[in-house]
Amino acid sequence: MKRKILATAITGMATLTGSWATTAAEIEFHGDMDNRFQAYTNQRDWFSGGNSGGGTLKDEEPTESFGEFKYRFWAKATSDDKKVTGVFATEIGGVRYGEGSGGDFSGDGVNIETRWAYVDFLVPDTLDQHVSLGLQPVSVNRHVWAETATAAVWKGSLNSGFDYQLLWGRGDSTNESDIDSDADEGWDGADNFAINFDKRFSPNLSAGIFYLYQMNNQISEGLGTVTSREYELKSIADNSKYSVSSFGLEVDYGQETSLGRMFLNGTVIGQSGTIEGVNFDPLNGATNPNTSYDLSTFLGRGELGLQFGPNRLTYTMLYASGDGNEQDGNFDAFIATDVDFSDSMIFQENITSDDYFAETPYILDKGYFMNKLQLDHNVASNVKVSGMVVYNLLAEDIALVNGSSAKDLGLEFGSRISYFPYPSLELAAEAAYLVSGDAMDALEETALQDGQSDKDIVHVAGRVRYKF
Amino acid sequence: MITRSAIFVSLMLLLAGAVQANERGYPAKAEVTQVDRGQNVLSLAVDDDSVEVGDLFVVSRKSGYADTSEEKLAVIGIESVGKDRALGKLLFGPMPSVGAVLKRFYGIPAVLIGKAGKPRPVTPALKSGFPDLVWSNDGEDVGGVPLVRFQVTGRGQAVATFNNTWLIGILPLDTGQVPAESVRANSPATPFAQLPIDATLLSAVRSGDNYYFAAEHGNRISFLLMGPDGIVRKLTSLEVPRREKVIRMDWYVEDNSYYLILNQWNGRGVSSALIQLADGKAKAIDFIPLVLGLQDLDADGRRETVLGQPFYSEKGFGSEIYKISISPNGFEKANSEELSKFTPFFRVIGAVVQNNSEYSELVVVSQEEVSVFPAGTMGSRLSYEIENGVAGTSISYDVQPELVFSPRQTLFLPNLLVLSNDRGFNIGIPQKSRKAENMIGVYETRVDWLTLRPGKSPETQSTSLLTSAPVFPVSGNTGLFFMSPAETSVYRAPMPAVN
Repeated sequence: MKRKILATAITGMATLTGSWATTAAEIEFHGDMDNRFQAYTNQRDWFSGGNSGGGTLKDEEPTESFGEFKYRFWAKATSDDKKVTGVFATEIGGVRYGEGSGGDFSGDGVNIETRWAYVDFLVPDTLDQHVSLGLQPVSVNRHVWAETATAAVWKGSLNSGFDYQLLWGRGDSTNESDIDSDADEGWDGADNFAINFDKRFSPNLSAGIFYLYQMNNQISEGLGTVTSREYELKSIADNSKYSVSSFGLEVDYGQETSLGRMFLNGTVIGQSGTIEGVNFDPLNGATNPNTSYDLSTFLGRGELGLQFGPNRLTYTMLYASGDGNEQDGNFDAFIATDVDFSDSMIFQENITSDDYFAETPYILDKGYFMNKLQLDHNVASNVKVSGMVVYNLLAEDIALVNGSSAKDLGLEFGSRISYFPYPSLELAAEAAYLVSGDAMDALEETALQDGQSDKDIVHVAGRVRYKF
Repeated sequence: MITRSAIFVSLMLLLAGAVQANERGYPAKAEVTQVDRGQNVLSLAVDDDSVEVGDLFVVSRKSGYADTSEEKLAVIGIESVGKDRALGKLLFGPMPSVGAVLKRFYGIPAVLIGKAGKPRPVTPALKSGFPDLVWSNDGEDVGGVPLVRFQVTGRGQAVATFNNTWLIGILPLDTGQVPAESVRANSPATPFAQLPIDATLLSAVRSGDNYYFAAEHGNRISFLLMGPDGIVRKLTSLEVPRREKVIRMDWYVEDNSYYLILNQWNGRGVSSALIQLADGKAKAIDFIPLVLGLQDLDADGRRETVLGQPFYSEKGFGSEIYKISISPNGFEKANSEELSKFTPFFRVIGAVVQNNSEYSELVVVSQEEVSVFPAGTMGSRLSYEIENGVAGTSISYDVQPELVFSPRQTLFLPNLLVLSNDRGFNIGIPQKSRKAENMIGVYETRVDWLTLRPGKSPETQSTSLLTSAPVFPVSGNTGLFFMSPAETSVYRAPMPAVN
């Protein structure tokens, strides 16, 4: 694209309104090259990538250390008039050092995926209304649905100062076919409709509400299965029928005080609906024969903190309702659609983001009651150290082999350091130790279960990440 | 002791031919090393290779910019030039003492005389070539101080003399739009100031004859003062508030109260801190979760209005604009309805707005182009590309940090200079330094100037600065300064001819 210096371009100035001239595009290339290293863990099989709880504690304490890379690259093409943007992203990995498909000798493997592919354009005759279509990062609420998905999204601002988002996304259409059966007909994919309103009322206060309606009618292959360990809507979308509404409110408030900047953030979400065409398979293996369940759940999260000098002290409380009766016709446990959570390094995602126990803001179908105290300290503008204590509880008791039940998952201690030697390169390390509570006994291998927790968990990892 | 008569000097200059105005336009400095009161000559130490025979050096005054009192001004003419030294003749005023610092073509009254012998308006080329002369329109000595006279001779040239007895040189004139090449310097500029620390970010403000600098280095911000003698002294320092990344610093001065506004990135958005400089100490006295920028809304030539605008990673710039008051009690904000009509394009940093009873105009500068919005954001928009990329501060961030992979955006804050009056305004847009053509070890930094006047088409002119290392613009409320981190030097770029 030819460029002209300002001094000479003025002689050929042109108005852009009404121009039909063919335009080229300006290409940006971005990347997120994440190299992570599991330095040590004593429970390799705990971090096995379940949705709501995929790991098991082993008596032999299998250790693991590995190096891994997960790279994402994307190209962004923006039209000359800045009104249209196209994005295409690929992802490689995670590929472990030594692993096939690109990580072994010669590194010759097929391992590239498409991760984003969407177009975003300014709605004609508007200044700030945008439509995005395609495979894109979607965010309705981080506790319910915030991930990549195929969707059509309309975003804009109202004169009243509210920002809004209208979304339609289809998360699954496994059973859509050219020939509709009696069971699968019409508009029956896993469709999601969301509306968000947010407003910043002042520099100190913002609030937002959302409503997400999710419907699905794909049950032609017989009964589907909901399990404790895969307790997310995305896991049952291909073989279930459901109608779920989620309504939420978020508030962010901050205030300068004599001690520093105080902040208070809160989220409350209520869910209701029905899930049909599935059996429920709980952790203890006693399948619930009901095929129709009423959903009624609740999630609340609050953060209270103080920024004083280079320090930030945050107290976080998260409560997600759990299911106390695994055999009835009700789902009382909060259910997410597709999320990634990292409040706890032991129970949720951490630096090795493909290896975790759960990605959800709850554990199994038992909800979650987390209390966390974290202190972040800016050693310099490019160096931060953090320390945290997390008390992990289930919202509902989990049955243990000795006939008792427990909620206590344990007390977790964690620390993290992040250093940016250059603005685009991060070196980070983290460590976590869980003093297991008795509820962990239910997640031990069968031979180890005795009604009391027997195994603590250690996790040490590092990362070298280049973002551009 | 070698002396030269004015006639000898003029013969040498005529033989040498025309002299480029811009070569003498920079405030080169010299220091008196030896004086001969009997012969009225003195030896000078100079560190600028562009000093030539015929140049005028003036003793820096202690107060006032255009103080032409006979008692305080002394003018020396250069008779010969050697390596790092020169011989000068006292032409006017008292003999300066050893150690006095002199500046070239500084503060002397000047006038352009037409072929008919009458004063005429100075041309943009002359004004940009001699930015520190005090241009007069009536041709009379000012306060008893003789004038520098530029006499138009025809063929696009003028003869420059001082006090009708000293020949400075023969210069080209340009009565039309100044082409970019005509104000391109031919040799690297000398530093305007040498900092005692390695600064990563710098902000400057002028207060009378003094210059205040705020320099970020490591975890600290140091406050420096440069007086008329050109020596930079450290005043005080403090730790960067909250040790959050500083992305821009701006001075705010009112009624002899000095404040520094820090825009900082906190991981999710931008917030600002207010530092008060008083009694030799600096203290952070308030914070606000807004981007803060300074505008000259009343076109009085001073960017004294502080505006605030939210910026968060998920939303970018917000549409709410606040007018910010600053006092020893901290920030006070109030909604600014009048500026809301300029959203969603308006930025408190990187945009310039003129909004008065006669007209409205908005100029927005991004990394590679300048957009002019006549009458606010309604109607057509005029866009111009910047050849080398606009210079400023960039910070890339994750739009949604909670995602494993998040789209990224870049917040770009250009360092603009705005010169405004009731006839319009001039916006200086510095570009990124690049290697100068045909010059080894030299970098060129262009500044494109956009002049906007109501009812007229935009005009442009371009100036450039040559340095021995890449430089980037210093933020602030005065002058056009560039900083070279590699050399801890501050350079002052030539200003355009402003009519």
